[in-house]
Amino acid sequence: MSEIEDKIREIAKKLLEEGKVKYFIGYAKGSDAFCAKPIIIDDPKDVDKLIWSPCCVNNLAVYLVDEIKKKPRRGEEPDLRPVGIIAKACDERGITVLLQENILPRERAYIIGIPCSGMAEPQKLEKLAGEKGISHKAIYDMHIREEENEFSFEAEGVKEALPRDEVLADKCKECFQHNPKECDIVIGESVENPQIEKYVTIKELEDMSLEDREKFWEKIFERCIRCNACKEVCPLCYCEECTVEKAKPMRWCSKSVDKSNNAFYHLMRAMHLVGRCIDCGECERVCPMGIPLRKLYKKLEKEAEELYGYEAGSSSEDVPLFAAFTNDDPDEFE
Amino acid sequence: MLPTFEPKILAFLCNWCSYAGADLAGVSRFQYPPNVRIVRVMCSGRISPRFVLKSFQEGADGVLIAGCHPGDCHYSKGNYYTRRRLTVLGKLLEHVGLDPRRFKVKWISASEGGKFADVVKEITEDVKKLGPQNSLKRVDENE
Repeated sequence: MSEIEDKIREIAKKLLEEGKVKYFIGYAKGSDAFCAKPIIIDDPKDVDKLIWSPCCVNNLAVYLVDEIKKKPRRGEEPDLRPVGIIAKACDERGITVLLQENILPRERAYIIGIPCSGMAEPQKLEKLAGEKGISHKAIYDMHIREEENEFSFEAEGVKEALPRDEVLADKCKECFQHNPKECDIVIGESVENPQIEKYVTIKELEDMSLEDREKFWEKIFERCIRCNACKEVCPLCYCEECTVEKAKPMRWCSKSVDKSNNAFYHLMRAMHLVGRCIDCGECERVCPMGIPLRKLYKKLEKEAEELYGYEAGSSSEDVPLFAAFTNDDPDEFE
Repeated sequence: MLPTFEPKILAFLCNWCSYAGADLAGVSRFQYPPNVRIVRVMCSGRISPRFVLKSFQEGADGVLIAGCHPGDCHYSKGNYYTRRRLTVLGKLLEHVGLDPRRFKVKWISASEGGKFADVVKEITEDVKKLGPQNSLKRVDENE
């Protein structure tokens, strides 16, 4: 792991010194060791702040959207140099969708791909550290490393090893594409893609009866406080004018927090993510109310694959799912 | 005697085929239940998933969408896009627990007045059995 970290710093330094990139988006140490925070660096002196650990869960592709949306100040020449970005396989899929939808010109991003075999979920790490009785101060100084089949971390002179299966993020357990494709540079060796059962998250829900499912989602949607965190963190929710926000020409979805409007909000968001959601799991991670949003989007991912053989973010050359059709699409409508 | 439940069905019909089909049903004097409220759209491709969600939110007990048969679209390919979009929407609604019988998409041509009457009869009977739709309906605080 530290080899990769050194390599990232080296590349970032070189790119920034040569002025090849405008700035560099990477990960820095967070307020505790469990969650790395995104960092934007424009000074080569700061490259030592960059880290790489099993805690780099964030999807950085969302900052590329911010970059594209930014308008230059009046009288200023726009700086069209690319932006350096670290991309795990899931981030890279997000970037691919942005390329596919012509939101991001390819030359505006310098993508540094890192094959990734799974990241640790901060909550799970924190819980396990608590069980092992490690103080909060120690947690800040902790070093987390990835070894063969476990994440090891050192704190207060104690070295603990946690089994991978217990701390691996849920989305990573279901990830079947570990290697980024659309990159300028790849750091680290490619990882073998695992043979796993897809869509285990929604299996339980699919086996439920219709009434049970209705009750399940009713309870979930009631919980939503409409903080819009899922929308803000999503790299693919880039619309300037969002259908669930705008009031003209028609207010489709009221901002009031109730069962019906919350359901509308989430279903509309889900419909907008069909064939686009790349399952980076950010929406679920940032949700303060613990809404299992992946259970909604994963279902649509499954349908897109089963009905149309479409996989989001597999190639920037693909025509988007709803912008294409064939004469022999499945037709249930008679 | 208790008042029987009369469902509200909202139907989006495409101007060129299904609306003409409904017209034919009327001209040919086919009987069909009066529970259906028709909205004419220029093409079934005009129908966004939010139309359907909004209908349910505003208290529709069932939604019927009808367009030209694939290949017959007046705008040559509008209904192909609809087919993909609404197939997925149907799956999503089923996933969140809405009965699939409340949401129907049918291809009805201008000559199929009888089919239109049958489809309306079918969805009205189904929804009548299912009862009022409350899972997506807006909660009115004044009530």
